[in-house]
Amino acid sequence: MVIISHPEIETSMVQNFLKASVAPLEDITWHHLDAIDTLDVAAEQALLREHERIVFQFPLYWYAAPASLKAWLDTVLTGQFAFNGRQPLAGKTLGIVVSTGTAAKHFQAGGSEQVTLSEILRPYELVARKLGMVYLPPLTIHQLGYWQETDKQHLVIDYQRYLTQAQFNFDQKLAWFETMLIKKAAEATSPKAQQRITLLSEQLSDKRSELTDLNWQVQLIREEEGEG
Amino acid sequence: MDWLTEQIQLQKEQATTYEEQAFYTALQQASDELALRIEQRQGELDGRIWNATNW
Repeated sequence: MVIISHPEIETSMVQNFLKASVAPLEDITWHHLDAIDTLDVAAEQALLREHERIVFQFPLYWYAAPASLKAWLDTVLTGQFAFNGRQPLAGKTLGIVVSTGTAAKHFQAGGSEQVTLSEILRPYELVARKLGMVYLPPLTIHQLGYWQETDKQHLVIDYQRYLTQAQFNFDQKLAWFETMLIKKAAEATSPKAQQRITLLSEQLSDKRSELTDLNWQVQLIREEEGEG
Repeated sequence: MDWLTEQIQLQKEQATTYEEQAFYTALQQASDELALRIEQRQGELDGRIWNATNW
């Protein structure tokens, strides 16, 4: 589930781009907080229980999320819900998709902002920890308007993976592509296209196994040579 | 060009939506990285197997 906090979503290039990126995916709940007049606490809590991955998505305003996310956190995460000893969200993952109008290079030690995004987003990491959730490395989007076309294409897929990939290592990345290829093969319009995409998926799977096998062999020899 | 790259490029050319094109662009990058890792592991394996100090 993507929980978006953005007071001017209709005119936001980033938000429109991200929404279009997930259009082909099923099972994504798009939850725009600023469109809600009065929060129904029980309904919001039920949404949280229903979803395994919760993503806060917002533009960075004065080193924080816009007001609607803070209001949502304060209203929905009641003591009764979060601290009654049951930890209803334990084991789920919490991700952050944050956009800024400032280049990435400024958010690092020695950079002009004198702070990293990991530091700025620390409160959400702490919320995740308090709730027993796994905190994902944030997906950051800096100055999308200046991006090259190929980089934008990569963002489409990075974003899809951020919302749906089980774990973030290389093997799981390849597994994600395989799953998507199988899905694309099933949706293919001609038997020939279906066959081509299926072959592609099988070939990718074979190469992934080859790498796993090589990793194992290298690891074995390293251990024999005392490198562990 | 290897078979995998050829097939990915073919699918990319035939893509009818922006998202589909993006998918095959990203798949190509993942496939390139996979090929590089396989090559590096094979190189390491060869190097360690032919390590003269173990003969």
